[in-house]
Formats: sequence, C-alpha cells, structure tokens
Amino acid sequence: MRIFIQQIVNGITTGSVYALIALGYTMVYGIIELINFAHGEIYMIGAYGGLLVLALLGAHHSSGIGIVFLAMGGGMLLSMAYGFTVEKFAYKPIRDSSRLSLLITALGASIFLQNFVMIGQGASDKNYISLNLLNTAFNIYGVSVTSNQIIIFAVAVIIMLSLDLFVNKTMTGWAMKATSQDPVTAQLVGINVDTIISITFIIGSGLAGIAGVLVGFYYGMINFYIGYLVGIKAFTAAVLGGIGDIRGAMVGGLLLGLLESLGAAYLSSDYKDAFAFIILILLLLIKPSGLFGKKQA
Amino acid sequence: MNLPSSIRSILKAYILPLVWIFAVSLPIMGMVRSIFAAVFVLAGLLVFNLFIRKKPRVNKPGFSWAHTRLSSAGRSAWIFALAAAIILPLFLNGYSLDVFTSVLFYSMLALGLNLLVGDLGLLNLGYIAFYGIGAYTYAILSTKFGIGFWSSMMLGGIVASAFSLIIAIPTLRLKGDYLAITTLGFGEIIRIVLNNWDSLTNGPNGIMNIPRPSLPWIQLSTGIRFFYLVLCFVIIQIYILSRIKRSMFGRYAVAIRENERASEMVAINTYKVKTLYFMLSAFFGGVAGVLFASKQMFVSPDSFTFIESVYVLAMVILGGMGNIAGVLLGAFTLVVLPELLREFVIYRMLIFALLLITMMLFKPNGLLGKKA
Repeated sequence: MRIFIQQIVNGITTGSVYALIALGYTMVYGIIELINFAHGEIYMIGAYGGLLVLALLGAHHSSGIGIVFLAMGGGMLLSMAYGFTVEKFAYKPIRDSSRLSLLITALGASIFLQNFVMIGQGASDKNYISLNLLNTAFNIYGVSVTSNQIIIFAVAVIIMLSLDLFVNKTMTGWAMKATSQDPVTAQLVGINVDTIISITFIIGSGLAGIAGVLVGFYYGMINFYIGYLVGIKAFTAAVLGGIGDIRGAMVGGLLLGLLESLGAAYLSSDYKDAFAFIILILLLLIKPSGLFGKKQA
Repeated sequence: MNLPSSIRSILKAYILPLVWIFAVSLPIMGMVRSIFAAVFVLAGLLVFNLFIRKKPRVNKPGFSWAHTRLSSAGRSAWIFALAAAIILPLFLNGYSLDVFTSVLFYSMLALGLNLLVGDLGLLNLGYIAFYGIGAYTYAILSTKFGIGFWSSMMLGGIVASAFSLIIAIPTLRLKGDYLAITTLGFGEIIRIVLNNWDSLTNGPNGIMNIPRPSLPWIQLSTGIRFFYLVLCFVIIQIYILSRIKRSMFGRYAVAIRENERASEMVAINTYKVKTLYFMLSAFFGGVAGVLFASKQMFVSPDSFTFIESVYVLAMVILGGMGNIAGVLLGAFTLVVLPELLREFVIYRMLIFALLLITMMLFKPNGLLGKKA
C-alpha cells in the first residue's frame, strides 16, 4: 500500500509535467491541426533557459525560493521566443500547404532545434543546481513527498486554472476558441487569425518552458535530447484527453503520469517508456476521440 | 516616427528578423554563432524576396499518369543508371563499395516507405521498426533455429507485415495525423522491446555471428558479391513496385491520395487499400532488414532509432514523392553527401533539418516530383 501511494505521488509529479506540455500540443492542434513535433524541443529549450538564469544569478545550494521562480520565468520567456520564431519562420509560410508538408516541416523544426542546442550548448549533460529548499522531504505515513514535488504540482495547478480562466473568460481566449472552431468565420467577425495563432504558440511554448525548468530541478540534469521522448509522451497525453480539448489535456497528462508510474512499479520498469505508446495504440483502437474528445472522423 | 515607407518596410522585412534571430540565438549559441545565424537568415530572406517570392501556393500532390509510361529519355536514363551500378563497383575500393552498398539498402527502404508516403500520402514515422523486425527475425531464426537465409527472407517480410497490422487496424480508419504519431510510438516500442527482451534479442549487446547467405554455386562472402546480391533485390523491388503502380490497385491508391472521400464515393474500399499498402510497405522493410542482418552479420537495437526513420523519410521527400527514380536519387544523395561532408559532422543534422524545411517550402514534391 505504501509503495502504491508513493507511486501515485511520483506519478502525479511527472503527470503534472506531461499535462503542462500536453496543453501546448492540444492548443496548437486545436487551432491549426498540426502535430507540433518541435514542441518537445521547446520544452527542452525552456530547461536551458532556466539553467542560464541560474548561472547568471549565481545560484547556490541555499538560495531562496525566489530563484526558482526567476528560473521559471527565464525558461518561459526563452521558450516563448522560440515557439514564436518557429511559428513565424517555419509554419506560417506553408500553413496552406498539404498536411503532409506541415507535418514534415514540424519534424524538420524539431531536428533543427535539437541540433541547434547541441551545437550551442554541447552534447553532454548539464547539471541543475540542487537547492536545499527543494530537497526537503516530508514523511507522511511512510510516504515521502519532497518540496520539489509539491512545487511542481502547485505550479501546474495554478497555471492550468489560470489558463482555463484565460480561455473561457477573456476576449483573446474567446477569439482562440472561435479560431479553432472555424478560422474563416473567425476572420469574418474581425478576429486577426494570424495574431491568435501566434498567441497560441506563445502561450503553449511558455507552459512547456516552465515544465522544462521544473523537470530540470526535479531530475537535476538536462541535455539536448530530453525533449524527444517527453514530447511524444505529452502528445499521447493530449490524445488521451481528446486532442484539441484543454481540460482533456490536463487530465490526460495526469492520467498518463499515473499509469506510467504504476506500470513501472507493478509491471516492469524496463518497459516504462513503452507504456505510453501501448496506451496510445489501445486508446485509438477503443476510443479514438480520447476520453473527453468530440467525435471525429 | 516619420520614416519614409521604403525604409520602414526594409526595417520590417530585414532588420527586424535579423535582430530577432540574433537575440533569440544569443542565450543558446553565444555571440559569434548568433551573428552567423542572423547573417544566414538575412541571406535567406534576401534570396527569398529577390528571386523566389511567389504568391502563397496551395500544394496539391500532382496527378498524372506520366510516370506509368516511360519516355525514351527516361528509359535511357534508367539503362545508364543500371549500367553504372553494374560496372562501377568493379573499380571501387572497399570503403566506397560499403557506401554504395548502403545506398542500395537505403534505396530498398526508401522505395518501401514511398509506397505509403508517396503513393498514399500517409506518414509513417516508425518505418525503421520493420527493418529492425526483419533483421531480428533473420538473426534469431538463423542463430537459434538454424533456418537458412532464403526461407528467412520471406519470413522476415511476413513477420514485419504481420506486425504492421497492429498499427494498421486501429489507426488507418482515423485521420492521417494519428498514423504519424502511432507509427512513431510503434518504432519506439519495438526498439525498447529489442533492448530489454534479453532472452530473445540479447538486449543492447545485439546478436552476433549471423550467417551470410549462400547460393549453391557462389560464395557471397566478399563485399562486391554482396553488392550485386543487394542490387538484384533492388531491381526486383523496382520491378514489383512499377507493376503495382500500374495496376488497378496502384490507381486506387493515387485516387485515395488525391481525394479520399471521392474515392469512397466510387466504391473503393479505402481502408482495405490502405491496409494492404501498409502491409506491403512493411514487407519490403522486413526483407531489407533480413538482407541487412546478413550483410552486417550482427544486429543491435542501435541501428533502428527514430532518426533512421526520419532519414529514410527525407530520402523519399528529397527525391520526389511517389516517383521511383526520384526516391533512388534521394537515397543516393542523402547517403553520399554526408560522406563527402565528413568535416562538418556536427552541422550535418542541422543542414539536414534545414533541407527538410526548405524543401517543404519550395519544392514539396521533391527534386524529380511534379510542379505543385
């Protein structure tokens, strides 16, 4: 039982990260129907952005909580900048092309960013500083919860709530929803579709950037390659919740984190990385529109 | 600001992107490389605006029967290429011969993948998994059960297409995007299984001492003989593919690529055609895998990574989707070019990715593809 609850805690932690990244996939897919393969790389770039802020501010083991948030802000800004750039330079020029061309461009953007970072930052692992305040472990009936895990979960929940409010309560959020439902009509009622698409990319990328910094602190180590696997898993999470559906992506992310963590504990840890894809294939077989998705062809 | 509009437009079209790219690259790349990146983008923008700029295009995969009949120029090009492929290896050293053998292997893969990407317009991002399945089928059958090369050949293809059904059944009814991501996941699953199922695949260490194929009267031990063996396979594959292309079945595929709904209206069972194509494509991948295992005499999961799938995909795209000669050209270019660019090895993938993106922008149907 204790192991079970411990795995649930760990699963919620990784699940929160998947959810944050899945949001970017689902928003972009909802609006231009593109699987943004480069999104995983945007997350990785966020992790490097956080690292940069930590180095600039000279973080040390006993730095305060402020530095965590500054790193998150740095990662978020860098990811936003890259998300915006990728959209403007790679996707926008061919938005009207066939879907196959768009997918291949996204793939190219993903490989480009990976190697871009590899050339700039080197191929070896980079270490995140381990902050004392993040490593405090609380022992609750034998289940260990670190402050790092609490922060990840709290940040994810706050972000998701604000995103939900943003999409449902603000003008820009409505414009986003309108564009995703019908871009042509949205344009007719005076929505600048190009701007909305850019905003969508920027928000999605910012969330991924925050996730990148959180993961950097959690695992203590990043490299140019981390975006690939997490990226496709987060996409799986988005499909799990019903692609295009923002709340679905949140639930899908958490669910995937839980399933993976429990699977690793009770089935086999060797095959941990394969679970996400097996779940994806099973899901497409049984309910292709995802848990909360609308029915689609 | 009261700037003349021409200056403002230059600012907006060139200076702004320049400064932006520099600012964005700076944190990752450092000062010097960021300047290079910015200059590179400026040059790209200049070339684009001065020479290539056109109206935004709507890309529809070309539709033509032109490729079903060979022109006389096309026929002599084929004969020339074949003659070169037969005669040239006699004058090559071991290293170049190896490069050209791998051109042939990638040609087999690219041709197999082209069935799906070029003819049907479906994206398979885990194609290398079928190559891996074929290779491991032969490796396991030959080392554990002593089954010979020629019977493994068929088995490798059949096992690969059986596996392809696992993906085909759930995803081919859905939109193409799902296929892309599922095949990607499938490729990962296969690699993870190969890495972890120690009792069957010997894990990350791979399987060694795989026997070479033998014919009753020729020993296929030297590189050059093996080259000719693979060449035979490529030729047979091209023959089969060109027959398929001209068959009713091949025309169904083109119809589905052009307009799936309309094809359904004229009573084409699109799901069935897509599934058969998918299995066929996997079959060729599996056969190529068996050959690959027998050439290397060793297989390990490292040979079957995601980036290999992307490589094969790039060959299909570069040369010309749906065009056999184009795919061969793509395979040739993408194997030989990196060998020539050995000094730029860290920039290789970067150039490769840029190539993919610019191809999609300017020539989405490939070098030998039809005009968009």
